[in-house]
Amino acid sequence: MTASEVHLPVSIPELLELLKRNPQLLLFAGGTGILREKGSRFIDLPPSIALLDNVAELRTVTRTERYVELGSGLRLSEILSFKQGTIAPILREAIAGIANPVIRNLATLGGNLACRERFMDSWSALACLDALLEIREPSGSHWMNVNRLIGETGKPALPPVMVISRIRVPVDSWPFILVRKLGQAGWPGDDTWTFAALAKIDKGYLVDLRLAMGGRCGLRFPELDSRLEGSSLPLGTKEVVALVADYREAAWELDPDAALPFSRMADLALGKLR
Amino acid sequence: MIVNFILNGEDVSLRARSGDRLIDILRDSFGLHAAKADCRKGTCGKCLVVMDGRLVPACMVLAFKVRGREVITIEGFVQTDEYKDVAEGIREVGLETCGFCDAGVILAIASAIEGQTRPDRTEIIEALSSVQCRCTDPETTLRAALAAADAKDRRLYARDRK
Ligand SMILES: Cc1cc2nc3c(=O)[nH]c(=O)nc-3n(C[C@H](O)[C@H](O)[C@H](O)COP(=O)(O)OP(=O)(O)OC[C@H]3O[C@@H](n4cnc5c(N)ncnc54)[C@H](O)[C@@H]3O)c2cc1C
Ligand code: FES
Ligand code: FES
Repeated sequence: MTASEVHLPVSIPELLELLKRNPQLLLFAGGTGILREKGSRFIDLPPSIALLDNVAELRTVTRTERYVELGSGLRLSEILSFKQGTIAPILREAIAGIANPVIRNLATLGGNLACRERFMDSWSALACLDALLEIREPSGSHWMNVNRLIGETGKPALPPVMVISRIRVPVDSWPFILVRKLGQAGWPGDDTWTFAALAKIDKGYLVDLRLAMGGRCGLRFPELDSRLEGSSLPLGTKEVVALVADYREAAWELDPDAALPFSRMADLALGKLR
Repeated sequence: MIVNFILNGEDVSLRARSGDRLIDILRDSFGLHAAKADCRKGTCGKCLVVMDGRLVPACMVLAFKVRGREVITIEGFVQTDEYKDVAEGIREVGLETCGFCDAGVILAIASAIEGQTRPDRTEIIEALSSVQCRCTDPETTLRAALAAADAKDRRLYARDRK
């Protein structure tokens, strides 16, 4: 086992300086994603680690009329303990479904979004909400929509050397929400997916619909979501069946194994609006 | 690396490797054996400790994350009034254990009832979901937690009347 050098940055500029000098630096937040499935007595860690615990900017919460900005270093249990109305109910529900309470006492939202192998549970809720991520890189910073984390093959596509510093989550209210975890319980595997849906209804009309599903790839199809916008409720069976078939086709194109779960969940969500 | 932290109320310091897990540090360096290292994957809950007031699996905490923190193990927790509430709840319902998951179950019950308001069944089930017990019936553990909440109410009421 090789010894690792552990850095304890206290600010984002200091963290970015470390990243600039060493692009291989491992960012260590709650550590629950990094240590997952490493059941052995000793753990081999990369030579350089930056513990994010002391970076105060990653732990801030700012609220405006339109959104709440969550520091990526907030622990999942802290976010769940915010008083009702601070965060979108769909995000609360997705976070409450992650692991168990003691893991959520360590795990952070940033670590959940920064997984490079798969889309973890918070992603689909944030994708429906069109949340934005503040990405800080040694070369600069920018905001990006979480939907842009879907790479060309559907897999997560995060910039190689970066820090997610804040997550900007809109706070407008959605009368219809649905979150479902599919597949085996416990650590997410190849057949596990998290589906999320939001719908806005005004005077008996569907005015906004958003469906997303995350797992080994990310699925979000805004052009299909908008197809029934403006339709009066209840939705017609024919339109729903046609839309579900198109969701299935779109999911198939990305990952054939995602087609069935996604279309079933789309059917369930639209069925509730029917 | 040198790791300084507070363990069961005392300042401690030890030399550890960055990849050492807190559960092994507690067991090997401090002889605190009540918490067990079973799955080492954060799933079984047999290694739970309280770190800075939060219940965490000690197998998922590495040495460098403990620096400057306060850790309470079950050996430290048994000195508290809160432990007496949990013990009373367990005794009242006759919950019998093999001892392997005691640290996890006791601390999980304590965390379920620690708030200002009395937890409902769903909240207790959620708190207990962090511990996988091979021997006991979950319903009895749930009843033990409810009885512990009663014991806590009685203790606080008696204290406030003094
Ligand atoms: C028993 C168990 C069950 C689990 N169940 C679930 C589950 O049901 N659903 C689920 O979604 N997840 C689950 N997880 C995975 C994990 O707990 C979560 O994904 C968690 O949110 C990860 O956060 P963390 O802070 O622990 O991340 P870490 O482990 O610290 O980091 C994860 C990755 O993100 C990077 N990273 C961390 N923070 C940042 C940042 N700010 N900027 C850029 N990169 C960063 C790290 O370098 C690493 O690559 C489970 C884990 C365990 C151990
Ligand atoms: S040994 Fe830590 S959760 Fe199982
Ligand atoms: S009482 Fe035996 S494992 Fe819980």
